[in-house]
Amino acid sequence: MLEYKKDAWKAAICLAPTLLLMAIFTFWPIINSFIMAFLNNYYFAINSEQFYSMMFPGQQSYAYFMGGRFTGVGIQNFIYLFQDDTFITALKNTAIMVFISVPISVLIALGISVALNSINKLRGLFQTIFFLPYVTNTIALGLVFNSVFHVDYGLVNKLFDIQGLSWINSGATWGRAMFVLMVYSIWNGLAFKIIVFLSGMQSIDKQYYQAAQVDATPRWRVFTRITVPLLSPMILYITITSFMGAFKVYSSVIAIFGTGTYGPVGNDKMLITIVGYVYDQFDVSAMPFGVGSAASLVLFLIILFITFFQMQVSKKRVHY
Amino acid sequence: MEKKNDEFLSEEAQTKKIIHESVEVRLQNLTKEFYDKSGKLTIAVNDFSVVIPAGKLIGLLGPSGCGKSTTLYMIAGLHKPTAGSIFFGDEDVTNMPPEKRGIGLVFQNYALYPHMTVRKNILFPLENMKVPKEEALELAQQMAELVHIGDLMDRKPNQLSGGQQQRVAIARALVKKPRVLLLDEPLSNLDARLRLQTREEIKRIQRETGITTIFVTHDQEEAMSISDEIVVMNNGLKQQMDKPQSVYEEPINMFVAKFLGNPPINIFEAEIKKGQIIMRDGEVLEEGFTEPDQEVFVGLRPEYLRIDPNGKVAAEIEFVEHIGRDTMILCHVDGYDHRLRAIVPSETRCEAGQKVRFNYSKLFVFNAETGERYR
Repeated sequence: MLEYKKDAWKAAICLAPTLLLMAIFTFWPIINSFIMAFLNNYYFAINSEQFYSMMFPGQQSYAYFMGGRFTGVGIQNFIYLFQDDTFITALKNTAIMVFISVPISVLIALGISVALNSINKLRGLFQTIFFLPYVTNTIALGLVFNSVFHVDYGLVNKLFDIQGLSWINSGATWGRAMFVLMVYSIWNGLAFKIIVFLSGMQSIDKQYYQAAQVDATPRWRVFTRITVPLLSPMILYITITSFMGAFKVYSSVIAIFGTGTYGPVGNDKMLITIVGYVYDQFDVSAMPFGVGSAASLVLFLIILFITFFQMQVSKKRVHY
Repeated sequence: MEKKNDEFLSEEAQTKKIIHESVEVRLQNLTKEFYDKSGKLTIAVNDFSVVIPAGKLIGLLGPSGCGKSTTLYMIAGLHKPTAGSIFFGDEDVTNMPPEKRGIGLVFQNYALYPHMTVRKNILFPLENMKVPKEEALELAQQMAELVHIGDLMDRKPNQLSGGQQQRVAIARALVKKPRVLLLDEPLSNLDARLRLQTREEIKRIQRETGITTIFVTHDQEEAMSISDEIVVMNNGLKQQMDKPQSVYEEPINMFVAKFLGNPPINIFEAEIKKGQIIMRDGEVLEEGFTEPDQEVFVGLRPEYLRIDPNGKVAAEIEFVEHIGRDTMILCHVDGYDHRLRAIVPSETRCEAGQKVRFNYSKLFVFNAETGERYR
């Protein structure tokens, strides 16, 4: 028991620096933002009383939180959120990214991994090709996509000999722009998934496949009955992290459309995502932190729910 | 009581007629060459010819790297031979893929699918054969009962002991009624007690099914205890094939003599001079040899030695170990660095320091260069 106590102290000391930093930069802000989400008319860092009373004329009493002022506690921010068309658009865009691009991307990655695992020649070459997007900067890739799908000089329009079809430039439809974004995020996310799946497949004992071969198992059954179940911990890991990543999608939209816009010229909120919406709310000039906090809380709850759901499913379907 | 239960199940298994079409396995001039990573050619199996009679249990025995597993995998079809042919009965299966050969293979680490229950593991081969579900379930249960795991059908492999996993693997291999059962080091992953039990199990299952069975092992005791015949291999070459006791008593060369037997055979350098076999200390062991004068090795199995005042081997006792039933004596023989080991009945009176003479019931004489046995 004494030994255990001594060890616990050592562990606490070793963990302290990380815990301290996380407390300051992660836990404290999270708690704060949860509180802010329920503060009505919360404005941060407005020292000038004049400005505040200008924004809320007739407001008699207000309270302070973290140096900002608010008029009351309630769900005013959430009401605002769900009446805001931009937020609804963001929810819709994010949901499509999550529920369409992630499954497609996981399936494609699985297929490519199986293919890579079954060839011997040129495997290294293909592995490198598929891994390249992972080591390349997101913004740089976005710029490449931006030019590949450009209305005038884009490779895609040239290749298929289409005149003036706008994918991501002025006049683009939501469908076409979303298609480009999907292609981009699926392809960009493949690299990491393939690496994880490949290493998982290589750690599966070859004898399972030999045993299956001796028992005359067709290829498709080998894949569904042996490879997939034995790979299921990796598939779960990739699915959960990809879902989380897709819920937080932001930089790929920015990368495709250019600085600070979420859509083609003329409709700059077309492909806005929840994270994009949250960032916009934290615009320094306005600082209505309450709405941003409420939006991030909504995102948090969605991710929490989906992940919980996935974990429940995994209890039945994942074999460690 | 447990024994009775066994008998009952065996009878039941027999009445259900788990009879396999037993087939003779013939290997003709089988050769397998590998190129390793540095491009060096390794001959794993070299011109290996053997006829394995139908319905027999045969042990492929040899040290690690002698090519015995490679041979097994060639019979299975997972390795392709460089040259030579494999016949199952009259059928040439050399170029037949493993799934068409009708073999059951039990891997060294069993290769049970960890995510499936015992039942699903045993059912797996039948599902591929599209056996109707009810019939498949019945067959699986029948096999499970044959190997005495009928009550473990809903467990996962990681909830079973090594011995139980082994039985599941055998059941999975047998359920599709193969023509030949192949076992790769079937006992090497089991502890000593289970090993004894399992080897009897393998023997029993083989007897009941009557399937031609080939198993690979590096453990001579294992091979000798259950095989109808053993094939001793070394460096990819067949050394000898015969009944275990015959191989033990009449080894064809020094390798076989040394490989079989525990404690190992005593080997001493000696010479043939004018038809006499003379030890380094000048003692004459045998006379009347027709071979020309030369250096030879003589081999004496420890249990073939008896203390006898008129014996031909002179020695001085260094240690006496009483090991229950027997007494093991370690002796120094003049002119040799290594000791002579003898196993004598425990009532033999002897002590360290004593000078004794040994007689022997049998002496092996080997060519010093080739290891070939003269006598």
